[in-house]
Amino acid sequence: MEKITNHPFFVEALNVQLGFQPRTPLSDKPISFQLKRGLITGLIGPNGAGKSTLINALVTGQSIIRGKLLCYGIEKNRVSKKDSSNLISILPQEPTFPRELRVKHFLELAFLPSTGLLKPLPSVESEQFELELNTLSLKPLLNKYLKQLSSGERQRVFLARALLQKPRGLLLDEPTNHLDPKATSDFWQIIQICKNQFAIDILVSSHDISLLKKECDWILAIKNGALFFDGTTDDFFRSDITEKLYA
Amino acid sequence: MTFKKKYVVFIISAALILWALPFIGSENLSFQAIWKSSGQYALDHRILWSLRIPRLILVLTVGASLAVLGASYQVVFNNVLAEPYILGVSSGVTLGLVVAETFFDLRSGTPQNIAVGLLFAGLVVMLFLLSYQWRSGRGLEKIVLFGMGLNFVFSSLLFLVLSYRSQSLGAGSIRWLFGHIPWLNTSQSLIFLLINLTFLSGLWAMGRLIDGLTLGDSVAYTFGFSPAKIRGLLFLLTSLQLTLITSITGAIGFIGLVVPHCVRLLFHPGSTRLLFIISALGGALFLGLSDSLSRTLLPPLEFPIGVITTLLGGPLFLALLWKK
Repeated sequence: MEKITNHPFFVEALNVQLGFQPRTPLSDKPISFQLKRGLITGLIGPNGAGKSTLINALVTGQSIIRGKLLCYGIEKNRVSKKDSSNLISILPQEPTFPRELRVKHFLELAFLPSTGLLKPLPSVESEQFELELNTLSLKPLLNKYLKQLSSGERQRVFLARALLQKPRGLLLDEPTNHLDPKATSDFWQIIQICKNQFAIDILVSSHDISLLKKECDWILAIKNGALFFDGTTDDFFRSDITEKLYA
Repeated sequence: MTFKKKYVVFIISAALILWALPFIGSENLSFQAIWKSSGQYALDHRILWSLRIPRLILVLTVGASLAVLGASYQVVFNNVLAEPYILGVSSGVTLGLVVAETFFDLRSGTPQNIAVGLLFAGLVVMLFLLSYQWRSGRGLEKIVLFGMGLNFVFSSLLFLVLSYRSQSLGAGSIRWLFGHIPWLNTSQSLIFLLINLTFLSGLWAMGRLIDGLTLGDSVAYTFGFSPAKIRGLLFLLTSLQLTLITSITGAIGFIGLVVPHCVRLLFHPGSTRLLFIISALGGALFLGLSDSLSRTLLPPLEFPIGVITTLLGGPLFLALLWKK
């Protein structure tokens, strides 16, 4: 874990080719990039460009045909079971969840990997939960069932679950897809607070260009499985590259 | 093969097969029998026009209709597993028909018989149209669950009527169908208990991993879990235990569906392990009661236990689904 803590990059791709079948990569051009720590990086590109494949590859270590995809300098397949949950956590695009579960029990599941199979999970009352619950103002929701929450509240609960896993990096896969404008801006306000409070590196995929312009420090654009742009948000929006990306 | 070619091949081969069908059977008929009705073709001509053709019309109509009904159910319920029998309408009809044949001596295919069948089908349709889920258009999976429940209840009632007709309850190989409890001696039953407890503790130990899976595969991966391995292990364990149980008691329906659902609806357990524990208690209690009932309802006859579990649990399950 020592090496991870000091590693200068969140995600690195070294000549990576992604694809679902070993012989047919999404693109012939391999992808290479390095994401610095302490930033919010926006991942954009047209539908089918490979955004979800990239995020999936980061999480599972699968679909990597060639090259190396590293998280804090380690390949997913080499991460020990113990360290895995503290490396990255994810807020999936269509999160599955047990509808009949109470919020507090759902949040306690974040401690599954660190607790071991036979010990009881820490209670939501314990101090390990204090900071996240207060930051995301979840205390009033703890006794509700997941099915009773609004989309915005539910997304906040899912975010809290991901943060309670105590990761260094966070992957958000189109997190505000189902949210109304108010809930979307609330969600991003929380993300910005979390980034500072928990010193967390964030990679977020989205189609909402204006939102990325406002919230992200860095932009990673991919098109047809190849790298299209890798640079600061200001540079990205200074050029006419957005039009080319979706052309 | 291009799209267009596929259609051409499909239509031509369908036409050829349909053309050949009436001539195939226990008697292979000659093609001339279609229009020649005298001499050596007389018999063939009659078989073809008064037996084969009407039957073929019936068969083709039913086949086409069931396929379309299934397709419409799959679309409407947004479920690839949906099929025409899923809502229990046809098992209601079957029950009605068997009741008509058994108690009213109506022959199959008569208008009266169909009327009785319609009565039962109508009841099922009414139940659905009255339910909250149907009117609000919400909870499609609950409608399908409700249909499964009805199916179970109707098929046990059907079994009861059939055993009334043949004057025996689940004798012979039929007993495997609805389950039966054999008389074991003490050491046999203790061994059975021990083996099953071992399996159950394995499942209990896996409870945490299963909890991880409920968050979705990608989250499970970040936990360092391997979803494929967990599912594989679970499948292996449960299959082994199920083989052991089924080879002793046959298939006892409804417990596996009803008990966990009722536990979820009533207790909202916070973890898979708690779900397992309450379900284990509930299932044991439920089957214990069912077994006592099956032996005391009509002594010395012993009702097949699966029929009792369904008739006890079915209405309870339907009521719970109805209420929520």
